[in-house]
Amino acid sequence: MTATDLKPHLSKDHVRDLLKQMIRIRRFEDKCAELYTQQKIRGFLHLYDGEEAIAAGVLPLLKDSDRVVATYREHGHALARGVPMPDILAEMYGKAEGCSGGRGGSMHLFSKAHNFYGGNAIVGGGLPLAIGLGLADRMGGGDAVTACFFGEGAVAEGEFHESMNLAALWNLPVLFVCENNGYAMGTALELSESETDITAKAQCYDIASEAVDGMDVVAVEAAARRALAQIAETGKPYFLECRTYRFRAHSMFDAQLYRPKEEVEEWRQKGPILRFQNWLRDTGLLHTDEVSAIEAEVDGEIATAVAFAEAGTDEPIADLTKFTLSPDRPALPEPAPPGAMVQTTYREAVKAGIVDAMTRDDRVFLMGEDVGRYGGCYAVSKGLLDQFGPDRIRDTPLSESGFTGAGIGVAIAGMRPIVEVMTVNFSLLALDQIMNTAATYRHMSNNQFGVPVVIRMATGAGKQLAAQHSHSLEGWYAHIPGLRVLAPATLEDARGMLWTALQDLDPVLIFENVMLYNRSGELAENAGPVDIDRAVVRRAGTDISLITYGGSLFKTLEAAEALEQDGISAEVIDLRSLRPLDMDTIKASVAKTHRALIVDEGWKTGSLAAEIGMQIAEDAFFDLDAPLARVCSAEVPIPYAAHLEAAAIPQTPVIVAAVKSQMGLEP
Amino acid sequence: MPSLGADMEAGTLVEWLKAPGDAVARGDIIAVIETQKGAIEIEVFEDGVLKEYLARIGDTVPVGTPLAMISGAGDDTVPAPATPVPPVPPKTPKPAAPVRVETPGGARLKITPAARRLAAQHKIDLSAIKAPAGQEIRLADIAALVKRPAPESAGSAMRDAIAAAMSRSKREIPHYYLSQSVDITAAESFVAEVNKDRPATERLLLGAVLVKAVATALRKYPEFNGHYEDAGFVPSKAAHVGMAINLRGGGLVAPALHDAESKSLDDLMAGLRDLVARVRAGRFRARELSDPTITISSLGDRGVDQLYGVIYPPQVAILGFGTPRDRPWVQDGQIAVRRIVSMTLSADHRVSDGLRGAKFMTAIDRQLQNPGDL
Ligand SMILES: Cc1ncc(C[n+]2csc(CCOP(=O)(O)OP(=O)(O)O)c2C)c(N)n1
Ligand SMILES: [Mg+2]
Repeated sequence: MTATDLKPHLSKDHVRDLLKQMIRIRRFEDKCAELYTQQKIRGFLHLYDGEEAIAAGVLPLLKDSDRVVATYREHGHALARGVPMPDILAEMYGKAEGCSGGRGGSMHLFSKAHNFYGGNAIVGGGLPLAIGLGLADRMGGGDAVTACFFGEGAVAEGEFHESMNLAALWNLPVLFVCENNGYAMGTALELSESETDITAKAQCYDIASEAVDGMDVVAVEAAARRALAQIAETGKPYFLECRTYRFRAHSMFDAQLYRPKEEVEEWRQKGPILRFQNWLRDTGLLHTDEVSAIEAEVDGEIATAVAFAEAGTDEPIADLTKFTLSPDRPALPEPAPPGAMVQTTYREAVKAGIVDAMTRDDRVFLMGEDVGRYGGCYAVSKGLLDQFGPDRIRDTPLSESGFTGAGIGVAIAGMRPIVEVMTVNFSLLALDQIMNTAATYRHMSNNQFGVPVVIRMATGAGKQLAAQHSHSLEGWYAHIPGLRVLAPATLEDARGMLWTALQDLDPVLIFENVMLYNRSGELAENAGPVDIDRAVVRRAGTDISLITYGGSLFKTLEAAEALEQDGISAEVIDLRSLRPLDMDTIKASVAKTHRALIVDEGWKTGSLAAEIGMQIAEDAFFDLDAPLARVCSAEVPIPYAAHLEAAAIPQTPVIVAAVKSQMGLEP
Repeated sequence: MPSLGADMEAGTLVEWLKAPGDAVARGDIIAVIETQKGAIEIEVFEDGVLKEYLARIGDTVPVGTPLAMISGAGDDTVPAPATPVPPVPPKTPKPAAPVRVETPGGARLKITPAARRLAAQHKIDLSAIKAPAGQEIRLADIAALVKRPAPESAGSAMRDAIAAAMSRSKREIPHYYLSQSVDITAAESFVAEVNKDRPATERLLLGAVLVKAVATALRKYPEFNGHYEDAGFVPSKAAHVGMAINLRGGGLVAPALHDAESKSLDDLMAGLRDLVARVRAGRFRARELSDPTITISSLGDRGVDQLYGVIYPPQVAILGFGTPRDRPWVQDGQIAVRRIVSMTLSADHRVSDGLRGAKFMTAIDRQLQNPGDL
């Protein structure tokens, strides 16, 4: 029998395997509950009792090269996928020997060796990731399928709908398995969905779908066979709703006020193990003593796992931050000797960077809203669709979370996507994927998976686009460990940072200030990669250090020039990288000038400027000969009217005045 | 009492579902407890017979405390559920009643961190600094109080000090320069003669002779000896001759040989030896740097012919000596080979003129021709 046979072949061996897998999961969960009451396992613990037929019916059908995305209720999936039980239990014990090094716990089991892309604890958060994995297989031309498991609670999330649409739109080989256990925590399906027929939701995206009795392992397997066969044949996604029930509490500390005991009891009588076992006994396929033998085997395996977890060791605290970013970084490519200088613009430089990357590396592609036919909302990618085609200049629907998550998934699977988000304000719709997936993935999986995605977005005010298009939120992203955040201001950086960012093994966010796109200047026609770690002194001076980045750089340079007239020699530092910050360069400058002023288009309260100032105060206090100062945006949503908008953000005269007052001069 | 969540500390027993003597099996529900989340059923993870209750209905039982005894199949009596050490409830500090933060009275000296550090480095007493009300004290204010770099800091602080002094000199002092070749054959023979029977450690050096010659000549030319202050030139009776000494780590200082005019050659030599040793070891007194009334600089062992010094303010003159060399020299109408050194004078035109300078140099020359008189 092969996985592509449409009907399960119920040989003795096979039915024994199915039963054993379910008993294995049930007894493991049972042990987890016990260990939890003994405080060996902590945190949230979501058990899979009652739903075993789904993992046991679907996962054994997958090939090694297929991929699995699961939720926080994923012990059964990990076990059925072949992740060793001792590694899983050691993970729940928080031990270094755990399958995620003790960093993830029950909700975040990872195993690269098993293409197991983790338990995701954001309801719906795994779906965009699965889209990305499927997209990698679609673009790479392999025959792998991504199986994505989630609860029925997830179908109310936007990420579910965005992902359904993307899977159908892009014909992705994804098997969606909705484990409909009737409740999302304590909320019954009919209390959260206007349409309780979940397959109908998939169908409206034109995805083949079927509902199956999730308490019947043979039915689940049969449905999964049909699904996989259809995906193999059409290359399109398939949606399986498995109707099931969870026997235990949602998580451990749950009084189950939301459902009557009788309901649980009723479902227990239809339990997948009980039913299958009775049927096997009645048909004579498996005798009682054979079941006892299975139970003994499973108990032995569990005892071994417990012993392994008990003997586990703690990761040294010294390694706490290890793998927040990749320990390996490719060397900066050797730049070619500069060629002839040509007149260009920031926009053209960004575009040239994209063209360079796409020409050099066929894993690179651009995706985002209106990057193709429209030419990019800031016209950065104009003409690239004709040059590279719609696969690699990929227009996306208005689904920031969906396509950003897809970019993250496709990067995890080995591609090098450039995700373009129109502006930073819109990126907030993708924040879940950027923060909860991209930034956490490497550390939480104990370095098994990394996310080499590059996400570009426009930022900043000045185009009278008012309060939902104009903010400078890069400082928020700079708060997040696990990301690199860049702000190219010059033509060299606009062109060269992308190259280096694409080589990096971690997520890199590139913020392009909207006011820079039209800036023109000279750039070597073959300008190449630049480092993305160091701040740069753009103007040397002795009296004060002006620290800035992005759109404020040129205003600050102008201010420095004006100050020169007044005999004040200002040094201007272009941060370039907002995370990590190159504090060495800043501190060296302050040690010379003894004064620092930070110019940051973010709002003042809780700004990046505040962070830089604080680090100076912490590490360079005794170098200071004047109080630290900041020029930031006013604490208002950026207004439309031109004069108000201009007044809201840092401007040259304000910088000049701030410096003079800091120098003890009348402004 | 099982732990069902990190935030669960205890549960209240509300119902027993099994009685003593009942058989229990793994997975059975034996009791119901009330928690902050509502009533929760308690499951056993053992097989056996319930022996005895250890808690009564209504008891609030901390997590980890046994609720009942179950006798197992194989063994005797085991408490159920398994008993981990009851967690010690963490002691949480009680917040004090809100305290009003008072602004401390009295004006604190506003001095910037960088100024504070510089003051500490130079042991400047901050309480002695008077700043106008409301005005802060900055780096430059302290730097102004630091007259001379501390001798320890031979690095960039030394460079800064030299830079400051020399810039000031060139900014403020109108230098004029004179140069003269001096025959020191007699002086050298004199030194050789004196040293004939002396051990190396007590030998006289030509430098001491030069100091003495200069100090003696100064008696008649006081306008080269003293300090130029705000009020103008203040001549000095004593000749404290600053000796420019190069430091191993770079830079140079010119501490004083005090009262050179009244000291014997041997005393001067001893003083010079002591000074060089201490300077090289970095142990010289601040006073020795500010006392000189004139400075002598020599690059005699460096092959330099002439040395035009920059006056060290507030002094008004510096004498430079180049390398002594054998040269053809006309003496009494004959060409002879003599030991010749070039001597230069840089002097402050505010205090003296070239003619007086020339006479001063001639006087030094004369002293050197009769070293025995020194
Ligand atoms: C985005 C998000 N919102 C809320 C939660 C809190 N939460 C965790 S599980 C859960 C219920 C999810 O129900 P369902 O998707 O049906 O999965 P099940 O737990 O039934 O397996 C909720 C609301 C979360 N983890 N993520
Ligand atoms: Mg559910």
